[in-house]
Amino acid sequence: MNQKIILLLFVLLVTVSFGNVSQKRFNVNSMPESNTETIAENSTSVEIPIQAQNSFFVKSNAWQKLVSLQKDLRDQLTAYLTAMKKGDSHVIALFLLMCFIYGLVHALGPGHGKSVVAGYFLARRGKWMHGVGLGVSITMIHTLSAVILLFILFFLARAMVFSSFESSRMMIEKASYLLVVLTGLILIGVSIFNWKNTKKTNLSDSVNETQASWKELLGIAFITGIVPCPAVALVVLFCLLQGLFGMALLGAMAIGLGMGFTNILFGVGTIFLRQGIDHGAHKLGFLTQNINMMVSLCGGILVSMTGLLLFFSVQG
Amino acid sequence: MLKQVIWICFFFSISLYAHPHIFATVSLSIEFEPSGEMIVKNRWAFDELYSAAKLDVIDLNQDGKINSKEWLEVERTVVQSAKQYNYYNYLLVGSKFMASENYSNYEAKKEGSLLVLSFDLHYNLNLQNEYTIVTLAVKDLSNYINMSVDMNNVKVQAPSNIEVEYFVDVLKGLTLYKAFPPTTEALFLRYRKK
Repeated sequence: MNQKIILLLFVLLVTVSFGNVSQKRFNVNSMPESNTETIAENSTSVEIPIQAQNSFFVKSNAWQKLVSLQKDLRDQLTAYLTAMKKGDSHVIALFLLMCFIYGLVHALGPGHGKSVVAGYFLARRGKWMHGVGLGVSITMIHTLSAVILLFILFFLARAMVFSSFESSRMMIEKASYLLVVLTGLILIGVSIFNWKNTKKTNLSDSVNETQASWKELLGIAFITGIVPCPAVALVVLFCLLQGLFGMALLGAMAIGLGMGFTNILFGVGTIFLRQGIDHGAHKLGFLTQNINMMVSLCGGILVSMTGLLLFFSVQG
Repeated sequence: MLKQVIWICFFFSISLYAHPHIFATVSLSIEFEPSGEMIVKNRWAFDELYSAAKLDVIDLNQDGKINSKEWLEVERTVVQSAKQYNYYNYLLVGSKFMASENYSNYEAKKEGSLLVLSFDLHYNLNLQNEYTIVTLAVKDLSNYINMSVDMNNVKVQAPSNIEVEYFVDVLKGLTLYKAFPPTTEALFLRYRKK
């Protein structure tokens, strides 16, 4: 009985204290014009970054869900690593599985070579194993470069590991996006150049000219993946800080494979799309060359547009 | 020649980081001063992965403890660097997003394994007899830091001379917030002289 009275008095006290504050829905459009005068004269305003206004991708509902999923996965990863640090080895398999899923989801976001892979296989004809090869090799190099860099920095210049990465992020982003645009423009130029050439030669020559080759793929994979992946870098660094050196390597590989899986889907999907288009174009006979050029042009435009959109989504 | 140019372009066209690598759970509370000044109290708890990396980096002498000088490094690199985006607090009054002149009560600490920062933002608004409507959303629009804010748990307090009403809803349909994902939760608040 006494408890009830105390509770009642407490509620009454709170109500009296904050009675002037209430949670209540009101019409936000009913604001009188005079309200703008409530801004004090010496107040300053802040501008919304124009890039953010144009980044339609990050505003989409699907993207928000992906981000939320990544957060949950990363929390789970750190929980497993903490358990391993305490000696629980039963969670190793779960940790590696979670790393794979995290890599798969993480690579769905912009910036892991999907558009480069897709654009390349639109401009160059390939077989399904080319798609698998390029998808895996880009992300594995992307991952390995992070692992190697982190291990070196951790043991030689530990205090520089994260700060140098953070400070250079924005500049690298902008430069990268502009070069994506340029890459796309060059692919467009190559398509037009090839189209003009094939007008002078026969069809089989033009088909051979646009075939993907292993040598070319490996080269692209190396130069595309050489910049370390920041997501992998954070997981590796966390493992190193916990003294879990083996897990740093295994976890990074699992994330790399997950990211590779996503890239493979895009690569192989584009290869089949290109084969389908070629098949359809062949039936049309005289239009074949024009359709080939259009597809190759689309590859270049895709890469350029991706670069442009990403460039304008960068803050700063 | 053309091939070489393409290869060079591929070399640099890689590191596209427009997705979150830092996650922060943000707690807010709002207090009004009798003059009408609005104070938004921010508390950011970073995810364990980022916290571990950041805490290790600022520990310059690597003694396992963060001293006051080292905590200042967090303030410089995390809070002060966000000033141009008003510390990711977007407070709309009329058609203007208000900038907080400065922040106060900055505090950084380690809570468990998490890096937690807190600071207060001050908005210099006048108090009137008519309602003033303000909208508050917290988000890093570059998407590098993903900020989760539970708007439903925002505490609002006001002195007896100010009447305040508020509710939580998403930003969908608000043209001035077109840069934000429409599902972003915001606090819609109105206040006036009592």
